[in-house]
Amino acid sequence: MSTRRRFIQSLASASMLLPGMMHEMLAETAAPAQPVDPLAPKAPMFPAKAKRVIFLYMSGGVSHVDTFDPKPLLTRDHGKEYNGELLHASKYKFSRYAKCDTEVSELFPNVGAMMDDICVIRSMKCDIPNHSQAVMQIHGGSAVEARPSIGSWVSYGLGTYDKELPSYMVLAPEVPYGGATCWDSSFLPACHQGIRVVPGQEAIPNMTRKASLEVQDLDLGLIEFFNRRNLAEHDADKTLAARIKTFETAYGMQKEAPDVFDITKESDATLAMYGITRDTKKGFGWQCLMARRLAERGVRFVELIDTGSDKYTNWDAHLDIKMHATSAKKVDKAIAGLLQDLKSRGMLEDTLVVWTTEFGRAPGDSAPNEAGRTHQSSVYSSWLAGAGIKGGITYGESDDYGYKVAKNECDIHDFQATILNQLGMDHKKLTYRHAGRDYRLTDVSGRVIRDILA
Amino acid sequence: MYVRQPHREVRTQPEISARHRARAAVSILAVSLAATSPLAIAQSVKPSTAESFQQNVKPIIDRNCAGCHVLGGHSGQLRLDSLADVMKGGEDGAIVVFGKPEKSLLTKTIHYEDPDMQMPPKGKLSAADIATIDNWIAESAEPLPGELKGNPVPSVVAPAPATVAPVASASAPTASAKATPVALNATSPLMTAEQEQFFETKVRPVLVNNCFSCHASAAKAGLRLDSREGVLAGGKSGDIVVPGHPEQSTLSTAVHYSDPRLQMPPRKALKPDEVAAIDRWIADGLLWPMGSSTPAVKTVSAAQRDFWAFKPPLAPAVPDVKSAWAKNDIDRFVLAKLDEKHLKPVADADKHTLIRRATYDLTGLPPTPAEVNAFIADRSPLAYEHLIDRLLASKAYGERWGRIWLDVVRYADTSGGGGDYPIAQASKYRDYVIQSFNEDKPYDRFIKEQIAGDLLPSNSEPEHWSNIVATGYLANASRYDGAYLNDAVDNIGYAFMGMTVACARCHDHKFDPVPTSDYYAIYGILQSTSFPDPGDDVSRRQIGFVYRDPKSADRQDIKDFNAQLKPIAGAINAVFALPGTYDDILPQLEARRMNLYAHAPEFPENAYAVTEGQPRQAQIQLHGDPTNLGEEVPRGFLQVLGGGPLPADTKGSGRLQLADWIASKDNPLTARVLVNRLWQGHFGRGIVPTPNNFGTRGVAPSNQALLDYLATEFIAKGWSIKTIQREILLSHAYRLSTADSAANEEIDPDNALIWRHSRVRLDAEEIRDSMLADAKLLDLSPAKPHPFPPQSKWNWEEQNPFAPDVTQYENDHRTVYMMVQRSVKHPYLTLFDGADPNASTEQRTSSLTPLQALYFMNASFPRRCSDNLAKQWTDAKVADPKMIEEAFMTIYGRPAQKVELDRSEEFLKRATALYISRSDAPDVAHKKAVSNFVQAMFSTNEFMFIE
Repeated sequence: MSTRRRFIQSLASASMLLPGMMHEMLAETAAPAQPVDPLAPKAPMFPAKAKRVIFLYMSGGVSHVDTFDPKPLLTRDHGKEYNGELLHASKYKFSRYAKCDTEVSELFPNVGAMMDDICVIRSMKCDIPNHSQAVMQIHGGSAVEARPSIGSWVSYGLGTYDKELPSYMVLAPEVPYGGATCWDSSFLPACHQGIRVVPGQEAIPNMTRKASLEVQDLDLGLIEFFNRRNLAEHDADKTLAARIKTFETAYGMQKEAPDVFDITKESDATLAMYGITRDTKKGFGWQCLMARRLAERGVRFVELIDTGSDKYTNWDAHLDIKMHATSAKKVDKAIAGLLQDLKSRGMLEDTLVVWTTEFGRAPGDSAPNEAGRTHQSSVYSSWLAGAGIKGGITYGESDDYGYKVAKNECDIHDFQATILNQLGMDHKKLTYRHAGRDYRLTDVSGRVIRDILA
Repeated sequence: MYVRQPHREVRTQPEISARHRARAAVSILAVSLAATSPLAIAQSVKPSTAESFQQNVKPIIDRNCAGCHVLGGHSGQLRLDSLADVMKGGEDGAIVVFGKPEKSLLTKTIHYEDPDMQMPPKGKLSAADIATIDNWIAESAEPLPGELKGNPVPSVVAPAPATVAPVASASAPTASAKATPVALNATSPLMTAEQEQFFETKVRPVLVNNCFSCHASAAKAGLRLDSREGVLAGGKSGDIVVPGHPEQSTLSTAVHYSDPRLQMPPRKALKPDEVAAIDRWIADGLLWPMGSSTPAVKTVSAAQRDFWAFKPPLAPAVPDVKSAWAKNDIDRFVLAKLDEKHLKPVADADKHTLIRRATYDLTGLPPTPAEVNAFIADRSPLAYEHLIDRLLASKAYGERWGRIWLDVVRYADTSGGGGDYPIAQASKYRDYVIQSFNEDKPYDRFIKEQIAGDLLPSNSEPEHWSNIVATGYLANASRYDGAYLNDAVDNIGYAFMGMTVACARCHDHKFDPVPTSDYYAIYGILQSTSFPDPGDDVSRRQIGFVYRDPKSADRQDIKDFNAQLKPIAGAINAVFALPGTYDDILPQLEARRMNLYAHAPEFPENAYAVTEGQPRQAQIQLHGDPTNLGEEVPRGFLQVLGGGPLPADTKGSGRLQLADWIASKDNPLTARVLVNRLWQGHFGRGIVPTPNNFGTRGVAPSNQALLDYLATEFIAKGWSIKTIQREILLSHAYRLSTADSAANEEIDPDNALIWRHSRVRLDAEEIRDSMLADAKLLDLSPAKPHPFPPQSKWNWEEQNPFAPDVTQYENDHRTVYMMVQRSVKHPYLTLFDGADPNASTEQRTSSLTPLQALYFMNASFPRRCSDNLAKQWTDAKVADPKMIEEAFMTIYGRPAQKVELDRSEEFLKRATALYISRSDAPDVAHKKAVSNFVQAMFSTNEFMFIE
C-alpha cells in the first residue's frame, strides 16, 4: 500500500473525512499524476541510458597531475624552467589499474580498482581559475551569472518518480564556494531547487514532526476539512488542489525520510564497502551510501559535496600538495564502494556517476620550493561511470606537463551536454524562457562527447 | 600557521588569476632592471612638468594606481604619490624618461605592450588616460631636483600649456583623440573628408569586424591594429606596412591569402572589395582620422523604432461604453475589450472578500476584525472609497509597495562580493524607498533622486541628505564597488524602462534596437561616477561612502585615523602583491589594523551612495570582456527611447541628464512600465505580463489602450502613483469575484482581460507578516539597524565569508526589514519565493511545495505565533465558540459558518482530550489544542490565497 493511501486512510480513521471524499481521494491515487504537478515524471526526449545521476563534486580544485592524469615528463623535468615557471613533479606514484590499465595515482587506489567501469576525461577545461566562478560554471554552465544548477535542469526536464521525496537532493556537510547558488533553481520554478541535507542534522528542514502522530493526524484532518470546503467553492482552480497535494507529499516525506536516512538495516558487507559502521551519521562514506538509497527511491539527481570552502580541509592545496592525501583518503574508499554497490545491484546500468571538481592545479610555480599548487582552469580531469558510458577508457589529453589541453578538449558545456544526453535529453532543446529568451544549461555551445558512449 | 593567500582572488577582475598577477609583478621587477638606464637628460627645465603632473597625471594615478603604489603600498618598491616618487622609480630603475615615451617603462606597461607587464593589472586605462600620460612624458622636461623638494606642488595651477592634452572631460570629449599621438611616426597626415569617409565606411569596419578580436588590446603576436601607431609599430615579426606601398606590405600579403604561411584573418579570407579597400588604404598612406566621430556608434533606424513600445503613448479616446457596469474610465477600457472578445464579467466580490483583498494589496497585511466589522457596518455608498483612502494613507502601504520596488532593484544588506561584507547603511536606501511611497513622491522625481539625487537642487539639508541616500539605488545596483558597472546598467534597463538592455553588453541586442554602443553610452555615465566600496578581504573597511556633513573628512581624529591606517593598509596590500609566503608578517599587520579599527573614532553619519567621478567615455568591451577593449563611445542614453549623446556642454558625469531622459514624459516606456507594475500588483498579472521586458521579445499588452490610458493619466496627474492606484482600486474591474466561468475560461484562460479577479497566493512577506499580525506579535516600532559586528571584527574573505547566525538578526518587525544577504538566500524567503537579491525580480513566483507544507506543519515560527494567539484567548478565558468566531475573523476576515463552527469545536474537544490522555493538565491541554487549531488555520488554503 502506498504511503499516500496509508495517509488518507489514517486521515479517515483519525478524523472525519466524509466517506465520499475519502473514496474520491483514493481514486485519485490510481489516476496518473495531474499536469499541475511540476515534478510529475516526464518522458525523456529520446530513449535514455540513465534514469538518474549521482554527482560527486570535490570542493577546492583537485590536482589532475596528482590524481588521474599521469605526467612522466613532468617528473623527468622536475625543477626545470618552463614558460617562466619551475616544474614540480607529482609527489604521488602512478600505477596501472584494473584490466584496462588506466593509470591512477596512489591517492585513489580504490577508485583505481574500479577503472574498468570508469571513463576518465583528461581534457576538462573551464573559463576562470577562481573558486566562486568555476563552481558556478560546473553547476550552472555560466561562470559570470548565477543560473539554474544542472540538478535543477534535470529535475525540470524529467521530474521525479517518487512523490515522497524531492527530485534534487544535495548532501553537503559544508557550504562550498558560491554558497547555495550551486544547487539553486535560479529562474526555474523553485520546486526544482536542490534540497540540501546536512549530514548529522535534521536531513530535510522541518521534517521532524513536532506533535505526536495522533495530534498531527487530527491537525491534518482539520486542514483537509477546511481546504476541501474551500475547494468545493472554487473547484475549477488547479492551484488549490495542488496545494492540498503538497500536504500529502509532505506527510509522505516526513514518514519516509526517517526510513531513508536510517541505515541500520544495511548489511555488514554493504557498510564495509563504504568503509562505515552502522552508527555512522556523516562522512563521505555515509553520503555515498545515502546517495544509493536516495537513488533507489527515485530521487533524480543526488549531489554529494565532500567539503566546503576552507582551504585547510578541502582540495585547495596551495599550502602543500600533500594535503591531497588527507582529502583523498576521505573519499576514495567511499566512492569505490558506491560504484561496487550500484554495480552489484544492477543500478550502475541506469545510474550515471559523475566525479568532478571546479578546476585543476598548476604543474609548476614561479617559486622553486613551492610545496603547494595554485589554481588552473586550462586543463584538469573528471570522470564518468555507468549508464552507457564506456568504462576502462580515457578521453582527451593534456600537454606534456599538464598545463593545457592537447587533444579532444571537453569544456564544461560539453561535459554537461553529455550528462543530459545520457538522461535522454538534447541539451539544445532543454530550454526555459526567462527574461525574454530561451535559456539553456549549455548556453550557446556544448557538444555531446560521443566517443565515450558505449 | 598563517599564510599569505597566494590564491586570493583578484576580486575586480576574475579573468586574472592571482598567479598571473604574481607573475606579472615579478616580471615588472625584471623589466625594471633591464630598463635601468639613468639617462641624464640635458634638457631645460620646463616649469610645466610638475604642474601638468599634478593637474593631468595625478588624478589618473589616484584613480588607478594608488591602491598599490602609494605610501606603504609601493608594490615593486614603486611609489607614485608625487612627482618626486614617480621620478625615483621602482627599486630597480626609472619608469619615466622625459621626452621619450618609447623609452619609458611607464608607457610600456600602461599600453599593455607586453602581456607580462600590464598595469594597472585590473584593466587597461582608457585611451584618454593613456594619451594624457604619454603626452605628459613626451612634452615634459625633467624637472630640477629643487623643484621637487620642499615645494609642494600646488594642487591648483594655471591652465596647462597648450601642448599638454587635457584630461578627457565632458566639455572636450574628443580631446584625447586629438592629442598628439606619441608613438614614432604615428601622426597621421591630414585627411580630406572623402578620405575620412572612405576609412570609416570601408576600412574601419573591416578592421573592427575581422581583426580586433586578436589585434586590439589582445595584441596577438605583439600586433595591434586599432590605431595608426599600432599598425606602424608592427608586431613581433617586424613591420607589417610600408605606407604608400601595399605590394611591399605584409598586411596586404596576409589579407590577399597569397602566401600559404601567412593568411589573415586565419579562418576566413576577406571579401575582394575588403581586400581592395585595405590596399587602397595602405597606398593612400595609411590615413587614420583623429578625433572623428566613432563609427562604433550605431544608429537606430526608423524601421527599428516602429514598434508599439518605442512610440510614446498617446491618450486614447475613452471607449463609448453605455453600460452602467463601468464605474470609471478604466472600466470602459476593460469592458470594451471584454465586449470585443465576447467575455462577460462575473459577479462582484462580497464585502468581506473585498476588504481582505484591498488590505493585502495595499498594505501586505490582513484586515483586523475591527476593520472588517467597521467596513461591513458602513452602509454609506462611499464606504469602499473611504476604505481605499484609509489604506493608501497607512504607513503599511509604503512597506508593501516599497518592497515591490526593492524587488525590482534587487536590494540587499550585504555586498555579495568575496566576503559578502555587511553594509549597515544600505537600509537607509530601503527606508527612503518606503518613505517615498508613503509620501506619494512623484515618480519622475523618485527616478531623478535615485539616479542623480546628489546633483539635484534642494531646499533644506534633510532634503539634500535624503537625495544623497536615494543614490543608494546605484550603489546597490553595482557590484564590487563599481567594477561591475554592467550590473547597474542592466538594472537601469529592467527597472525603469522594462528593457533587456543587458543583452547589448556583449553584442548589439539581437531583437531590440539597442546597439552595444548605446549600452556603453550609459556605462560611460556610470564610469564617470564614483561608487562606494563596501569593503573586502584586503581593505576590510568601507571606502568612499558619502558623509552627511561634507566637512567630516577634515575632522582631525578622522585624518589621524586615516594617516595611521594608510601605512598599515599599504603594507598589507604590498605583502599580498608579493610572491611567496609570509606567515610572520601578515598576522602582525592584521593585528595592528584590527587594533586600529577597534580604537577608531566615531565616524560621522554617512550613506552607501554615489558621487561625481572623473568624466570619461567608456570603451566598448568586446564580447563583454572588460580586458578586451574596443572603441570609445560618447556617453548618452538609448536612442530608441529618445536619447542620444550627452550635450557637448555637459558638466560632470551625465547622471543628471540620464535621470532626465529616463524620467521624461516623452520617454515611451517609463510611465508605461510603472503603471504596468501597479496593475500587476493589483491583478496578479501585468497588462504586459513581462514587466521587465517591453521589448519585441516581451509579451504584447493584453489591452494597449488601457495601458496607454493609465500611462498618460499617470503623467497628467503629476506622476502620482497613489492617484493611479486609487483609480484602479475604485474600478468595477477590481471588485469582481474570483468566480469561474467556463465560457470565459474557454476564450481567455489566463484572465488577461479581467473578466474576473485572479486568485493569488500570499507572498513570503505577507505570510510571515500575517502570522505576526494575527498573533499580535507584529512590532510596529521603527526597525533598528541590523546588529552587524563592529569593524574591528571584519576579517571575512572569500573562503570565510560573512556568515551571520541569522537568529541574531531576527525580530518581529515586518519582513521588509529582515536582513537580506546578497550571497546567501534567507531560508525562509527561499522557501516562499522571496525576491532574488542577485537579479531584478519582476514578479514573484508562487510555488507550492511539500517543503512549504512541512514548514506549516513543523517549523517553530508558525507554532510560536499560534501559541501566542492561543495564550491570549485562553488567558482571557474566552469560550470556545467565541474564540472560533474570533479566529475566523482574524485569520480569514469573515465569520465562521455553522458547519465550520461545529467541526472546529469538535476538533478542540478531541485535541484537548488527546493531550489530556497524554497526561497534560486540562487547561494546558486546552491551550495546546487552541494553538493547534490556529496553526491548522494558518496552514489552510483560505489563509494562503487572496480571493
